[in-house]
Amino acid sequence: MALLEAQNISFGYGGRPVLDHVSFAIDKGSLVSLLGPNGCGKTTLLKTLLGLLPADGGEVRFEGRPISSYDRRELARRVAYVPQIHKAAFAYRALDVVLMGRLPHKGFWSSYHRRDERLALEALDKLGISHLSRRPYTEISGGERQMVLIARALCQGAHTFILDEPANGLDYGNQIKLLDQLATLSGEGYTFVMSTHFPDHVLWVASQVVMLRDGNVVAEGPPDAVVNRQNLCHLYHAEVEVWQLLENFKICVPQRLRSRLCDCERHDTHRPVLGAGRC
Amino acid sequence: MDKAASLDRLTVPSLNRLWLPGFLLVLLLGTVTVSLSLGKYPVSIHEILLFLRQQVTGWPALEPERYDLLRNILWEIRAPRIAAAVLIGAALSTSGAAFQSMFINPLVSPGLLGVLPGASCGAALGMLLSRGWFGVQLCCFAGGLLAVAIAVGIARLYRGDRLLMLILGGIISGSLFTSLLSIVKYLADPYDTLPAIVYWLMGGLSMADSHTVLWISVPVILGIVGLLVMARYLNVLSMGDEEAGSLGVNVSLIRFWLIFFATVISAMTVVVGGLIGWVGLIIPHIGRMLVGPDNRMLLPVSALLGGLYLVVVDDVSRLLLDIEIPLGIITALIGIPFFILVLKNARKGWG
Repeated sequence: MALLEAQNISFGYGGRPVLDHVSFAIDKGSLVSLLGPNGCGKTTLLKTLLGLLPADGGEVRFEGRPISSYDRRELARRVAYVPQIHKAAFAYRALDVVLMGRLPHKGFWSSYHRRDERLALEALDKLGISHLSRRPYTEISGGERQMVLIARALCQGAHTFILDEPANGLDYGNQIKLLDQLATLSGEGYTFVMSTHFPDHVLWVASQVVMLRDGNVVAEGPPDAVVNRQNLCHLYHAEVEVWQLLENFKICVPQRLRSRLCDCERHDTHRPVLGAGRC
Repeated sequence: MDKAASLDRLTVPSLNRLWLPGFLLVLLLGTVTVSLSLGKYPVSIHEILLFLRQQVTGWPALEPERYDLLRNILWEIRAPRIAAAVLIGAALSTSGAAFQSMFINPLVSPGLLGVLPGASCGAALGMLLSRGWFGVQLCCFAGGLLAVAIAVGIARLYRGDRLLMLILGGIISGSLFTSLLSIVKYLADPYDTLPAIVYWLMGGLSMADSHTVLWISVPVILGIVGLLVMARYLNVLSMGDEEAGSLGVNVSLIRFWLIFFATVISAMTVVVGGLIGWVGLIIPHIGRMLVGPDNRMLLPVSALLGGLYLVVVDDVSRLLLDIEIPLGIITALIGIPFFILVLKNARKGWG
């Protein structure tokens, strides 16, 4: 049984359809990337998966149950949301932000205990960012903030994370760190659904891709099968080729740069294996 | 060092953080006692303590005549006024801090949704229509509630960013009641009612009698406690609606109660003291400088600071000159320069 399933979900804002009969299924432990151009409904889809926006038609099922049948606190203990990095107005300590993840475990009257604080610190420690615990959330970098939000998701006790463009606004090094971290956690059995603007990121870490355009799923499956020239062209209206380097590694190359790669094929003595799986 | 121990070292023992509220509470009690002794008729602190002992234990410590005199000055005149200052200061500061977190903006004040214009307009209307003091207070409270209800109603008309819609609703409702207030002023008798309205709008505690203070103290204290209880939820709301929702918070329900409590206690402050501005804006800032933005700590500290601040300002208002200076004028004169200073820091986490 799939962990998280979208069954024919439709959604519209004031008559304008944003999602049109979207269906896909996600297994436990997978790292699913959601690709699509700006305004294609990625964020809306993620919010529907989280149960924050009730679908107009169709159903989201989590662990076999309709997501609407979950109590919100019950759901929050299972599924966590990592929003796009944003500027915070208040200088909470990073530890306090992570501690917020304990809220769904607390009754209305019971307060956070030492144990909750301990769990928050463990989450920070797991991501290797213990040193941030006392730092004000407003003063750490975007990449660090993203990590703190992931720590909060861990502290929440959830095993399914929904991330909205986690790599956006991160510098190159932080993008790599973030993806490494997601891949590691995914190996430990955590499930990720994340939207992204970088097809290369999908090729690096994803185990499944959902391509969304104008509220429709245009392609879905493992990156090897789905991230190809045809689909990317269809998705972004851009001329992109996907090159196979080595046996199990691909990269996306804008067509304009193709001639340079061909040069490299001719002159570079350590040239990578090109060709076979290229589309 | 093993990992568990190193993690333990990082956790902040929560008791260490309690010294500041404790200190502020002692300071507040001390200030209240000193304020009781201040006034046209001097009463020594020693006598106040004797009087208080007699009040509490019933043990006669003062001569009967002296006791009656002190009872009149302290209990009937000064104590209600000082209690009103503490309650109003605490109420405005707590609701201000709560609104700042809820609207994710450190520059908003408790009047954001129009409660203050609404309550002022209600009070003015009450003065125009009736001669009863209680009627005025009732109209005042009802006006505050109505203005916020209209703001919330406008916000619910359209889909969209809830917070933005609420702020716009508040602006509309506030302007509406400001205009209505002008109409009431225009209609009011210029020799009798109009000066009363204008004086009311300047804010002051000279009307605070023991009866009024007693009956508003119950809803004000309940409202403050209500906000304190929801402090953790305020923290989460200040990260944005979606994050709060994903953390299992019923955002609209929590927000309803937050607005309700904040509105009730803010309207109550107008009922007793008229328009006292700026307290709800600057005290939470001072609180944040002292204890950081965590509402679990910020709200109680703001309440204590607000009470302390308004008692001191009220002392100044009644003692500085021979005539009383309206409290609202002093709080504005202090608040505005402070606010300009605050802007420098506030912009950082804001733009």
